[in-house]
Amino acid sequence: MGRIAYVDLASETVRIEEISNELRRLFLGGRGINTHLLYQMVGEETDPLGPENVLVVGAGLLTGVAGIANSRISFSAKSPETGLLGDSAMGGFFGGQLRYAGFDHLVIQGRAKKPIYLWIHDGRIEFKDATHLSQLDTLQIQERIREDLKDPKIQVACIGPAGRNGVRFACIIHGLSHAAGRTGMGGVMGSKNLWAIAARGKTALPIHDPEKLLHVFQRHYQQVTRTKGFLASSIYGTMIRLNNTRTQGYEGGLNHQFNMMEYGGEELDAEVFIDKFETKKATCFGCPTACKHMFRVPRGIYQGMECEGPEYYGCGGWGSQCGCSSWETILEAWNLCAKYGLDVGSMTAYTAWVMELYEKGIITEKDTDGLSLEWGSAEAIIGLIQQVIEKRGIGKLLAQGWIEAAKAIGRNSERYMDHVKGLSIECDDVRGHRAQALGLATATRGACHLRSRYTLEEFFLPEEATKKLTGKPIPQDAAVYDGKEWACYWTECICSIADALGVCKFMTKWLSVGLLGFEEFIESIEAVTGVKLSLEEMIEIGERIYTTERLFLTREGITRKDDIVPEKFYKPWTHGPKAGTRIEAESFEKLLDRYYELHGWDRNGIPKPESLKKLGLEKEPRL
Amino acid sequence: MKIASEKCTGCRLCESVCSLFHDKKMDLTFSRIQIDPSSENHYRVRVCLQCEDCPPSEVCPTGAFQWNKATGGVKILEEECNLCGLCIPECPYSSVFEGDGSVLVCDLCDDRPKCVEVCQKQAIQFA
Repeated sequence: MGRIAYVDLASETVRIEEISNELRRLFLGGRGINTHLLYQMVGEETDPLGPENVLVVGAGLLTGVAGIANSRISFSAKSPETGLLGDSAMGGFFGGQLRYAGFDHLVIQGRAKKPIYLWIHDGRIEFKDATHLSQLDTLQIQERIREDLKDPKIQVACIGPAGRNGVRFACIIHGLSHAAGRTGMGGVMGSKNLWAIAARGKTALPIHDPEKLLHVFQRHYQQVTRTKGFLASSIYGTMIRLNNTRTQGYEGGLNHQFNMMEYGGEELDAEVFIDKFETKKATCFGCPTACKHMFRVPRGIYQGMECEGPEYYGCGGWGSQCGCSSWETILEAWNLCAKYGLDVGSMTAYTAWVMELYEKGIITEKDTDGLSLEWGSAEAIIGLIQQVIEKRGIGKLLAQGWIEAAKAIGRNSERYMDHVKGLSIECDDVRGHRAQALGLATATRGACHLRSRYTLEEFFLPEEATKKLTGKPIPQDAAVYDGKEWACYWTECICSIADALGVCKFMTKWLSVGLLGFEEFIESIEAVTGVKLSLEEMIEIGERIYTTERLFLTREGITRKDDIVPEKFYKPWTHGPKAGTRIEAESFEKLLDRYYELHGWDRNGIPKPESLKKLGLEKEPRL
Repeated sequence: MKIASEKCTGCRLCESVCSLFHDKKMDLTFSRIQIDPSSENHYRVRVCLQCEDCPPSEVCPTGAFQWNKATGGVKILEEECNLCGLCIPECPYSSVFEGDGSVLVCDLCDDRPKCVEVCQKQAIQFA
C-alpha cells in the first residue's frame, strides 16, 4: 500500500512503484524504508555532492493519518558533512500533504540541468523552474510558491541560500523553522539543483478500519494529554532541557571545556524567554502539545523580528557553549539559520569550535576576515553565520564541513571538535548518563540524541517502572553502567519505530512513561493496515532498521574504533553537583561489549551472519 | 459552537476526527470544520455557529437544510438535498462547504461535537 516515485532530475522523468505489503511488514515506512532503499542505491564510492547520491524522502506509515503527532517525514542520503549515513526528519505539515498528493516515498536521483522545484499534486509530479527563487530566503520561497500556484494550503520543504551555495551542513526547512536539520541533507538538495518540494493533496488515505481508528485516536488523545510530562512539554517544549542541564551541571560550556558555566546564564532560563519574547504556541500536524514557541523581539537592534523557535539545541549551542547570555543574539542567530537553511546543530558546534581555536591562538583575525571571536561576542555569533553563507573569511572553510576545515587549518585543530563519526555532539554533556553516552558513541548517523539517547535516564525511574516499561529492569542511577546496554537498545527500537511510523518522539515513551509506546503503535497500525503485530515483531522491525543502518556504516569501514565518546569524557567534571564524574574506560568497553552482544554483533561491532539471517539481511544489496 | 481563531494552532485534530467520524475516511478536504492558514502559524476556523438567524436554511428550496431540535444544530437531509448549492454563499461565516456529491455543514455529530474533545487549546468550544 502506498507509492514510491523514482524521480530522475536530469531527464525529468518519474517511475512509480507500489510499496508491497512485504516491504511494509519488514520496514514499515519513513526512516525504515528510506534506509532500506538508500543502502541499496549508494556505496562507498558515492560522492555525497555528486549526481549519483540519492536523496530518499519518506513519510511514515502513519504520517497524515488521524492520530497523535503523525507529522514526521524523513530525508536520507549519503551525508556531505560526514561522508557516512545522512538522515534527518522534520515535523510540521509537509509529510501529510505529500501522502495526500499520492506519494509515500520519493527516490530523487541525478542532478537537474537548472534549478527546479518539484510540484506534487493529484498523483502527479511536475518539474517547475526555480530560477526566480534565487534571491529568496526559505520563508519567502514558500510564500512565493503558494502565490505562483494559487493555493494557500500548499506545503513546501525547501533549501535556502545555504543549500544553494553548497554549504555541506545546509538543512531543509519547512514553515518558519521545521527542519530536517542534521547531516547536511540541504547540501544534497543543493547539489542536485533541487531547491524545493511542494505538495498539496486531496486524496483520502486508505484506512482498514476507520471506526477502530477513531476510537484508538480518541483514547490516545486522552492518554497523552493526561500524562505527567505533557503539561511541561506544552509550556516549555525542548527548552526544559535548558533549565535542567544548567541547574544539574551537565551543560556544555565554552566548547565543552566546562560542564557548568558562570556567564550570566540565569538570563537563559525558559521562564525568562516565555515572559519577554513568546507570543504564541505553534504545533505540528496532529499534535495537541504545541511545544513550539512563536516569538517577537520587542526592543533593541532586532526589534520587531519574529520567528518560531528556538529549540534547546540553539539555546545551549549559542548560550553556554559560546558564553553568550543574550536572548536577542540567540534569537537572531536562530532566525538567520531558519531563513538561510543552515543546521543549528552544526552551526553552533562550529561556532564554539572556532571560538576555542581563536582563544588558543590557533586561528586569528587574519583567518576570520577581521572578525574577533571572543567568547560571548554577538558580533562573532552573527558574523560567523554570514561568513558561512557568503563563503568568506573562516566561513569559506566552515562551509566545506568541519573535517575539511580542520585539514585546512591544521595545527591539531581537529582535537578541539567533539564529535562522533564526524557529527558534532550536542550542547549538553552526557558523560554522567551511561546509557546516553553509549547511545552517543553508537548512533548510526553519528553523535545524535534522537536515535538512541535514553532520555528517561535523567528521571531516575525505579527498577519496577523500567521493568514494566522495557521488559527488563534498568538501574535507577544514571552513573551505573550495568544494564545500560538494554536501555540503549530499547531506545534504538522505539526511535526506529517512531521514525518509521512518522510519529513525533516527543509524544512517545522516549520522553515520558505515560505517552505512546509499542502497545499504542500496534493499535494504530492494526486500525490503519489490518495487520496486528506482536511486541516481538515490533522489536524485530526496529532491530532490522537499525542493523541496516549499521551495515551502511560497516560498508564505509566503521567498526568498534569509531564507537567512542569524545576524549574529554574520560576526564572528570570540574563543577556542579556531580563534579568528579567521568567515563571509566574499562567500564565503558565492557558496556560496549554487552551492547554488541545484545545486537548479535561481533566484538568489533560488525553484525554476525546469523544475526543478519534472522533479520533477512544476509543477502548483499543490489546496487 | 464558539470559536477563538487566535487560539488555533492548526493541528488539524478537529478536521481529522470530523472526517473519520462522518465519512469513515482519512480526508481532511471534506471536514465540516475547516482550518484555513492566514499566515505561518495563524489560522481562521470555519465551522457552523448555529446562528439563530440562519440564511442558508432560509434559501433552501427543498427544505433539506434544517434545524435539528434535538441537538440545537443544523443538518442537511441528504435525501432531500438537490445539490443546488444556493445555501453555500449565504452563510456569513462561510461554513457551509461543497462536498463530493454533497453539501456539508457541521451537525454537532448528532450529539456532542467530537472536534471540541480534541481541541487542546480550546479554540473551539461547545456550551
